[in-house]
Amino acid sequence: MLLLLSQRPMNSNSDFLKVRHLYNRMSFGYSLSDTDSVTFKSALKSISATVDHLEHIKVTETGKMDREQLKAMSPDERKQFRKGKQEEFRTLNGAWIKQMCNGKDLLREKMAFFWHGHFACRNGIPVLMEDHVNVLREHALDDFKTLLTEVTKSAAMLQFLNNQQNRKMSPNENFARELMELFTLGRGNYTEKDVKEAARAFTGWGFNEDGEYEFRERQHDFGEKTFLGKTGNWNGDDIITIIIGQKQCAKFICKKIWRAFISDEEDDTAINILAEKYYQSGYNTSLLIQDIITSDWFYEEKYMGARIKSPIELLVPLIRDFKLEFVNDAFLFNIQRILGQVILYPPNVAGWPGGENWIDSSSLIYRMKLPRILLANAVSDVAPKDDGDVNGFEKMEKLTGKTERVRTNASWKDIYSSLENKNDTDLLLSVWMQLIAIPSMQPDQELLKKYSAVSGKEEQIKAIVLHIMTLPEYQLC
Amino acid sequence: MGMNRRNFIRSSALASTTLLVPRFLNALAAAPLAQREKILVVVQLAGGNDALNTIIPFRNDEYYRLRPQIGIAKTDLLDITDEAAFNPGLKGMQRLYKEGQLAILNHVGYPDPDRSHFRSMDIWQTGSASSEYLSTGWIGRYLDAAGNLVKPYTAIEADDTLSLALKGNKLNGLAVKNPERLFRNLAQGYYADIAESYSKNGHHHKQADYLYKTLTETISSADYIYKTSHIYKSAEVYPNSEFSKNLKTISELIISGSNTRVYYVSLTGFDTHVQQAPRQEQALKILDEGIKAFTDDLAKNKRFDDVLIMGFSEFGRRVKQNASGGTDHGKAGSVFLISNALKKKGLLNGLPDLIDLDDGDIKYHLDFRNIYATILKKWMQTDPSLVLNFQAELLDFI
Repeated sequence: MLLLLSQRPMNSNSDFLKVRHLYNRMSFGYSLSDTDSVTFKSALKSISATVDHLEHIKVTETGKMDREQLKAMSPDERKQFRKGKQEEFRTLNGAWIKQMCNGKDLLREKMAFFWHGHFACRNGIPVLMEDHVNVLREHALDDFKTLLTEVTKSAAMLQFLNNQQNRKMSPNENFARELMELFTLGRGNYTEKDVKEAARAFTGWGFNEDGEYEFRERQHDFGEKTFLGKTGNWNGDDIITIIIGQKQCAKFICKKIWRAFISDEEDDTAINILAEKYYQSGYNTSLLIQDIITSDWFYEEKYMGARIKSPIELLVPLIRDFKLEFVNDAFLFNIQRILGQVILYPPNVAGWPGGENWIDSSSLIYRMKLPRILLANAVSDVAPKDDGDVNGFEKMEKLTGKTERVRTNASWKDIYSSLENKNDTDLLLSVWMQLIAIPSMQPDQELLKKYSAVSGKEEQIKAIVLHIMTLPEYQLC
Repeated sequence: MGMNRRNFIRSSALASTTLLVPRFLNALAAAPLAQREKILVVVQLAGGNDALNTIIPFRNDEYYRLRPQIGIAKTDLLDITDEAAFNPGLKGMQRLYKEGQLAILNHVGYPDPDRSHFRSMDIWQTGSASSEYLSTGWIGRYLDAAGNLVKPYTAIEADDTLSLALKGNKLNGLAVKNPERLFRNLAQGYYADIAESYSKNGHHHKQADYLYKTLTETISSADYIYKTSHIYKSAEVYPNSEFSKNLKTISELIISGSNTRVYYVSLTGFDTHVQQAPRQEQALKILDEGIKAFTDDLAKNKRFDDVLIMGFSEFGRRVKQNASGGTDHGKAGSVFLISNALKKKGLLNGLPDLIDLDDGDIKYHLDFRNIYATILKKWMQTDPSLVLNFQAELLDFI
């Protein structure tokens, strides 16, 4: 189970550091369990292995409810309907997190999660959101153009950015603007005229009652458009092609990939090199990632521990490694709300800002306490914010009675059995090496002894793991 | 050398600080108490308060025509002028109005309004245009602009978690619902031990440094706030609502002389799609009773001149009532300003036009960022252009 660090001289074991870094970045964290004697080579292979048939998440039933149908309901029925929808969103949220935890298709799930922040989209209809999530998962490692096209055609996005209302006689520019500003080019790389012309090209792109993409010919503007200096009778696909033709698009995407997978600090030279390759490869995302993880520079010490974990990156390994069960699935949802990252609910179309933005006094303290809350039933006295929306997230009390306490079942069995034969020093170093991403950091043994002075091996293991997880450096990956 | 009561308590508070907080924290803990600086209290009404049933234009026939069931009967209203009156839930506000301590700005909003709660609240909290997405809030950027004298407790939100409004690029405000609980949570020694271990160790790592700096400041702020909040214990009777409890905490910090310039507090319950009349009145009553106790407390302790309360909601609601005796999401809304130092009082910019509507909603005539800019410039002595990317026209209420 646990790596036997005592059998590996810590300083010379660069292979271990690389394995740890690779898992921290390209999947949801190095695992406390089932990583027995992983070599770098086999880790590379397991990270990139994809399943033959991607299993789509299918847990929702609630489709588009017609306005008239809703009107015909009694207030009670409407309330029931809304409650049912909320439950479905929670189920969908939990189902995707489960996929992130299940250890298959590691890179795909991590990339899909990255794209969820990039193509940030909210939608009030569970099935549409589910389809959108599956589009992200299915095309996460495809070339960017395919992904972008599929996302653009997903009903959730068409509705979220009002392309459903984008008609020849009254163009709606919302999607066209965000397409360039947030999805592909960034501000300053297009004009207001380009936004208008692109909006015209996407007129008629909508979805039908089944939530499928539909081209509405009668609403499409077939006229001539001049977009980014090119003139023609462009449609939406042409616009995407023209955007993809701009090197700026590759730069924009690589910059975001850098921040999500390499470092919170940008390095323009390195990003430009990646962007050039990405562009030349026809935006082959899979190749880009392979290129990164097989390079030497990716494993330089300066990048290890150089990112603040996003809340989901913090949460998923805890759930996974301790086979965590929530007594009520609302707990999992509310923890995401407190941490400020709720899957399916990005804050706006710009996604989660990330980096130091995750951290303020209260979020840091909560994040430091989280392992004890989840793994040792410590009391959490923090309630998520009420968003004011009467149809929005339900209050915690309503779901769980009066108490705000998060109750979980965590399994320590595997952790105990893998560590019980170690002497005190080995135990500490072993846990430290697995949980702390910064190679140059050493544990403060004195402090640790002070807070793990308990009797019994299992209690001691638990105290050490929880102590190391409480340290601020555990927040880094 | 004479020592007044406050100084005595302060120095004894610091003496006990020394025992609890490691040495390296003391520089921060010993920051001097505030001069009589101006203080801003932001009150956020979450859910979209129906401005039109808050300040009622009771002489406007359109009002009763468009709201046959939910229009508030003249006999129930609390008059403030010949043509405007308050919701029956706002008795304390009516008194503040009559005493010249309340100003109201109507039809406040922004161009291209968004009717979604989360998006519109984002816009109000960040002070952005509706086409921009900012990851920092306007109070947070005020902290950035105020620079190196800022401590985490310079801006305090009375809640468990911090709103976007109080997040800056470099500096953040502090979320504290209960100073004692925060203090007890952090002062058990464990967190301080962790923080001290890192500083002792002398290790340097950019991201870890940032986290430890935040931790250290949090512990020290928790200590400062807890000790400070004990200097003055309010004798005022506050209602039993969560909102009032938060205001009481804020008032104790203000009167104790906490070196805090901005307080942020939120009240929810304004998303009144169904059976609005009793619900909104109840929510407004909670607001009103809390504000009444709070302003009385400030006045008795001679701090009402130094405090400006600004209340807002993410949007107003539709003018026409819906089929469920409620109202749906609308656009422009109202902002209230309360202080004993107002230069202009009363209804500052008239009542909303109910004929010339924007798709059934009240049109905005005043961009909310003008209010922010006015407060920043005239109350907080901060250049608004450092905080807002907006050409503001300053108002003259302060």
